Amino acid sequence: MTALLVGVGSYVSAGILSLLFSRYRFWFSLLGWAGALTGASFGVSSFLGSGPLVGTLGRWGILGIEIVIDQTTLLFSGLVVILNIFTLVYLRGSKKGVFYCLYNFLLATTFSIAFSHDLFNLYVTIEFMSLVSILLIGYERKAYQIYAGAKYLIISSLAMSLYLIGLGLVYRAGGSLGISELARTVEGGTDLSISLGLCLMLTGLAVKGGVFLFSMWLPDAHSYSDTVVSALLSGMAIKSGLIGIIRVSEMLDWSQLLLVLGALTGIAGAIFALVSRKPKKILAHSTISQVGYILIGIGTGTPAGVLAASLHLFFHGLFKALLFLSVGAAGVGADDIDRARNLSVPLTSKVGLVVGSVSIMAIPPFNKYFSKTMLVEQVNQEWAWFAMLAIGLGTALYTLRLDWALIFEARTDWAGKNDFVVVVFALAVVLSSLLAWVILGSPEMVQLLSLHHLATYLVIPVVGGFALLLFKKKLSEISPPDFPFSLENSLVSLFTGFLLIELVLFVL
Amino acid sequence: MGKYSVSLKTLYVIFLVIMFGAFTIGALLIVDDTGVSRLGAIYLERSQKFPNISNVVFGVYGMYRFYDTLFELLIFSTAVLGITVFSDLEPSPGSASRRPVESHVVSASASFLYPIIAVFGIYLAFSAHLGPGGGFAGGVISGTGILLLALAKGAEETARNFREDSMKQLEYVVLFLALLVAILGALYPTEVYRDALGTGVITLVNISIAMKVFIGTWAILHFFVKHRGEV
Amino acid sequence: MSTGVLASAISIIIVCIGVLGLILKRNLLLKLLSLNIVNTATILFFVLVVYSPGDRAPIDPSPGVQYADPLPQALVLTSIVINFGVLALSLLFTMVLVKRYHTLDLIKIEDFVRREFEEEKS
Repeated sequence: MTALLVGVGSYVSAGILSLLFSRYRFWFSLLGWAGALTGASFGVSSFLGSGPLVGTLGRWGILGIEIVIDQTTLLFSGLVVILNIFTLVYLRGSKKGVFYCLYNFLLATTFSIAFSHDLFNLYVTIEFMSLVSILLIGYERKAYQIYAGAKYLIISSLAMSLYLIGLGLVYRAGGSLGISELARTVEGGTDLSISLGLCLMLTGLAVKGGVFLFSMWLPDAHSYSDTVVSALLSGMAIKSGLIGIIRVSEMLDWSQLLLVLGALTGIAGAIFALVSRKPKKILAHSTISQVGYILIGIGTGTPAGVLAASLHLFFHGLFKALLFLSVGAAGVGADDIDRARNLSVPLTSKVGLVVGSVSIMAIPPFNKYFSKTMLVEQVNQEWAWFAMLAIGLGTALYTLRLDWALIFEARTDWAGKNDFVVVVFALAVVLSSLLAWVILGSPEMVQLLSLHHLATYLVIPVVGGFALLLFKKKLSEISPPDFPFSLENSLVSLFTGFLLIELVLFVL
Repeated sequence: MGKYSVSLKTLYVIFLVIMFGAFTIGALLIVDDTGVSRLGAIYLERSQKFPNISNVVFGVYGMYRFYDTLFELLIFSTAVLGITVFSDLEPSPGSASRRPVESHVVSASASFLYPIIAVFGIYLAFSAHLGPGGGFAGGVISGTGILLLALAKGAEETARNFREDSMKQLEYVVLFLALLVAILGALYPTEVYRDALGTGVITLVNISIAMKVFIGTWAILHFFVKHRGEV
Repeated sequence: MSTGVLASAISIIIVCIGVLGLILKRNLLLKLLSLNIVNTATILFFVLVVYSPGDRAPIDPSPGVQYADPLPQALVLTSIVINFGVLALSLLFTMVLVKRYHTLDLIKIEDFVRREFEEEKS
């Protein structure tokens, strides 16, 4: 199991080397990628050999750091490796050595989060992730980037303080830091004492994970930063908070709470995405909206539901990064989509946008269809099902609005700025649906491809398209409010979210 | 009302914070922790396995959980890296021409005190496995000690004396060492920490961490000294 | 109520004071100061939460004597360093913002930032 360290070690070394010998930064980063690929394949072979496994890093026994290899680990580390190679080729040495150093550090810490199963190790790695992220956000030193970075830093530092307070309570009552050790204690009957601390920890992780009310820093940070950074943050970095929530929810049954948070996050994110006007802002809000699905998946509480959430996390990372890269390669991330007639978008970006949009709308053979159908199969509550339908409709609306502007209205730039990495990446996103086949096996796949699911997911975009035709004029009159996302109000909404958790868990 | 009026938002914030505090303190009071067996007891119990490490706290962060400490070092390096990236920010007007504190007491006591501070820092780094201390504490103490020299002699001259730029490269080499120890130590615990070089490895790691933290602390302090506004 | 619980309850109150300052103060520097109070009080809490009176320092332990729990103390060292990094970087970012806009008032900075972002692309 310790072989997974190869991935982290090679990323860290690649980061340091590309800083010290910045001439060869691309090649060092490529070597880092190769090392991570090796580490991830060690993980895969271990998983195929002996199934899900919980162990310790090294030979320390109970005293060491607990790690885990399960489907979530493999999917997340696979996501890191895939995003790494495409963003690396997309960068092609366009940045300085320092950028590559931070880039590799970000990959190292996310790779480490994939297999971490220890509450304090999660704290350290997530904290490192946020410090690297803010330097990447502010890398180009535009004032708005610096502001977004500072906001992220302050909110996340507060959140991690709450996490640490929760960790103190959990350690006091449970006496351990390893998640499976604590789960054993919970079975022994000290449920309440640990769940009080875990509430605080959940708050901290939700701030990192892009949950609505908690992470109001996200739209600014993800839309103001550079293309590759946005792709990595949206596709990969916020997922580390969600991985943390997946791990923490192994200890307790939190289905009601997570379903409520998921529905709230999904619907609110979709509404904000619908009224935003800049492509990158839309994509950033859409990230929040998609996090809703993942939370609902974790909230089902069944192993299949958590698998669906992990699969969705993987697929979302891919298509969201693709959308960010396509928009960024065209250089239209900060333009107004109501004035798209003046824009020109290269053909490759349009291809990427088409593939990304059909994926995000969950149109059948594309990847999100499978994870979303799995989710729907697992959800029992009727209201959660309707919430998912509403999120799906919202997703169709804002995606079609974005597509209408950037694919049909904008001119096609045949000659200039074509970037074929985007097309190859799009191909990879298309092929990734095969992975669902590999993981689920064919009987389940046939079940997922049943007629009523197919019909539902074909009807939603059509309904969305008609609704868009009706309301397009109305939508372009609305401009999105800024005040919920100021530093002060995001802090207030963080504590409001904490109050919500308390209410759902202990009053209802 | 006038001066004493409080907005609705402020009241709401106070309400939220009180709810948070009540929740957490309530959680402390409700939970009875008598008889909980904690991991710390096992750490204390097993400390005999490594007789050369008598400081159990060091055992936790220096051996069993060195992987966390690796990330701690990475975080520190990232902070220094951030400062380095922004080091070409223009200094505030007048700070370059600002003269050091002209006081005989400061300059005389600085040259007298700094060696003592430095020795104390090195001592802490060397003896971390035996008593309170550690590479990080030693490094910070020596690093902030330089601030005293900077006050007496001027920041720029101190930086020149310490060859800050070439030292910074050294900082990242230490990360490699830490990475190596994190991986090897996890795979071969007794060999690395007790048998082969025994305390030698531990001291080496501590000293290099102290060196790294010393350079990093000075880099950060120097940056803020250089960019301070009008005092 | 044991000494440890009382002391950690007090440190939670300090956290609350820090949070109030963090939210209600408009000055960015005071916000960072409050954030630091929150972080430090959290560390205090983390050490005190498993403290019981009469604990000895966990150095050279021998059986039969009551020692303090070494684990929180070791973890706290890590989080002190993390807070140091956070403080350094947030001060750095504040400094860049102040050099750009010559104010510490967050509401003014947010106004400037939004306007600048809108202007850059239209």
